[in-house]
Amino acid sequence: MEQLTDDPLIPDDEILYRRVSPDQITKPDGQNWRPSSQVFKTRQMSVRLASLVSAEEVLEGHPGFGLVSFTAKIVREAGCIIARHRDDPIIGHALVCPNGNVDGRISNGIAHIILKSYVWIKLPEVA
Amino acid sequence: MIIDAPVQPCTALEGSDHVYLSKSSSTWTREVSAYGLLPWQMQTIHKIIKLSNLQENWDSYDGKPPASNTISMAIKLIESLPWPYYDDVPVPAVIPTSEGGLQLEWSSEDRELDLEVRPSGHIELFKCQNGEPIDEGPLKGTTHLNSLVSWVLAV
Repeated sequence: MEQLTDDPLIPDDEILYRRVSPDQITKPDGQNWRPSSQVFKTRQMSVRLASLVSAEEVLEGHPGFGLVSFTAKIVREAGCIIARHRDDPIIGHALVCPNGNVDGRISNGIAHIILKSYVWIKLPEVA
Repeated sequence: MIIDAPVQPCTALEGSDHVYLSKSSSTWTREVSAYGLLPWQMQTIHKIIKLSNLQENWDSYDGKPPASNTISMAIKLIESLPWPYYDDVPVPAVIPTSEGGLQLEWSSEDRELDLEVRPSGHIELFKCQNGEPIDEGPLKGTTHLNSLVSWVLAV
């Protein structure tokens, strides 16, 4: 089985995209939508590299979904690796995992670090 | 009284004195009595029940829909907050998790409280203030829950 390790070919300034379901947003200040921490609290968080795919391509086939971006530097500094499978058929696909525990779930602490720096590329469509 | 039964993909309806869950107009699969429940509790339970409509891969990342026992536990959690002490609690955000759990999120000006009902039945709490984590771990019963809600409401 392929061991997941941080990919040094992904620079710190790489932009990572992650889709956001309309069911996973919240409005904590009563005014502005924000992704829930649960968008990021997952095992082997799937992301796409903005240098290889466009936002439109990431959202293709997922009507109503939103998209957020954050940098590789943020997740690395939070204690994660960004790994890629050698033969991954999905263009620009990568996995964000806790460093030293690649099968572990991303923690609340890491999720909230991402929440401090994410950028909305597209808001989900809210019914 | 809670009449608990298997949850099916359904439509949630809100009545004057009950929260209903049904898969059709003639087949009730869950009925939650609203007797003694406050409006915010009713609204929260309604949001919880609505999420039982989620399908596999609802988040586009192979997310699992909330399990029946997860929904039951989340409803019991909301019901367990005693009234009239908490009659002005804001309705929390109810967020599904990719693993089939549910997270209840309360926010005030600078405080956030997340209670995650995991598919295993465990409830995990997370508190942060001004965006900084200050506490996390397992929920330790109703008394603990009351103190957490008091904290987020700063009462």
